[in-house]
Amino acid sequence: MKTIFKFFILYLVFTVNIQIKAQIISEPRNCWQKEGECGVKSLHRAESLSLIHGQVDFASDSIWKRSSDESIRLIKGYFLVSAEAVMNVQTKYITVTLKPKQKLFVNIGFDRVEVVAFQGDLELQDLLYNKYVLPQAYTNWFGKIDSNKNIEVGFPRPANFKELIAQLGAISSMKKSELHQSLKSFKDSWTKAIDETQDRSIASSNRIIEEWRENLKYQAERRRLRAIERRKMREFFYNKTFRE
Amino acid sequence: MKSQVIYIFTVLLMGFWCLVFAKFHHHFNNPDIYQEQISYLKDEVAHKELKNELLKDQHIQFQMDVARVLPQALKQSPTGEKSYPLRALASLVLAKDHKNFKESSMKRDFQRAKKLFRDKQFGLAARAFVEFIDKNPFSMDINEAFFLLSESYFQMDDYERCLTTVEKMIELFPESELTGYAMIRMGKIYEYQERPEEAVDIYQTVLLTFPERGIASQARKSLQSVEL
Repeated sequence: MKTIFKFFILYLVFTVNIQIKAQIISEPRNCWQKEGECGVKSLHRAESLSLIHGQVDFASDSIWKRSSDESIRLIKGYFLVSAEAVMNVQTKYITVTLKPKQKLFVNIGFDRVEVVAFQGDLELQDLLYNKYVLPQAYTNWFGKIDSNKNIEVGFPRPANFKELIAQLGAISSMKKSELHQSLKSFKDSWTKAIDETQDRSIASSNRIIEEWRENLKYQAERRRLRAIERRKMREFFYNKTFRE
Repeated sequence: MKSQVIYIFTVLLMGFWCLVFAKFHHHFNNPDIYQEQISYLKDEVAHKELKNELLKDQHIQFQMDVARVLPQALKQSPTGEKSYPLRALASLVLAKDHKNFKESSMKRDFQRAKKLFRDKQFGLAARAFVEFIDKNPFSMDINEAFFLLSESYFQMDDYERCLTTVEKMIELFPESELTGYAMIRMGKIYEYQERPEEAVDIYQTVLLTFPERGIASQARKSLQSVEL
């Protein structure tokens, strides 16, 4: 009975029209194999594409463009870019120069671009050519430049580890062991970053408390001096009115 | 044993029935062509969307370039009216909000003009449509605005202006269905003006250009009435 059922299923499998949909589309059409500019979009699932200078892992519905062998522009979605040689990664609000073995995680939002230094300390440059260094395990966001030449930029802080693991797990093409190793290394840096931030926060809080105490002292001193001044004035008027 | 045989026979019969049904369905519906068409169109849409996103990105890049050089340029620019092009360029940087605002204002203007038309205040409606067309030449409703403008003129017995508007519609939107209806209106005006030959020409052109049922039947009726 089972055998017959198996044969029946086998028969159905061969007769049903199975279509494998294309996962990546490019613009101009079929430009990926050729040289030059090429816009790429993943349609249904996370994909990974290799370049001469590195590799780009990207989520479904993400869009990016290869400008040249060493330069790419990320347009929409989120990405993990790994560099094998020096690579220029552009986004709408920030440009990152990746050195060999460095890895960058980027989330392109509607009005801001969030960057995470996944491996190595990254060199960033905003639209006004200001340069920043983003240490490993830190994240920062960058926004647009307005007509008064002001640029919107966040404050560097340790990355959200939990969120990052989920996003990386969804897009990374690394082997399980490799991903585990990378995350372990990232976690060490992240713990260090948290400690540093904690130290900085404590130092900053101490400074604020110190400033507040100084202020209290200053106010007390001021009150004391004013009281002396008032007493002197009273004495002066008293003498002027009743003694002279 | 017997029940097993019946069971096997039923399964085989079902399989055979599925096969026959699939063959018949395929023969009479021939879905392959439609499936191919659908997948081709889906592919086209995906490519268009990608192209659109790449162009949007270029636009953002341009906005940022403008924002980068603009403050410097504004300092050196002349004041008053002469600085208008630069200020217009500055507004590009904040284009998103501006676009939303413009779209809503455009819709409001058009609805106001349409309401006047519905209320049979044709003079005011015509003025509102002219204003709308001047202000929003790239609006999605521009075609309908032209049509209602021509109708407003017709209702006001201002045939010359109505003809000019319809001619403009023929020039700007030759394939639009509304242009077809406006052309029928043009034919009617020729009839009133006792120019039957020109009216016939117009109706025949409508019949040839817009073979769709509504317009064509209207044109045919009008043609018959002229020939009578």
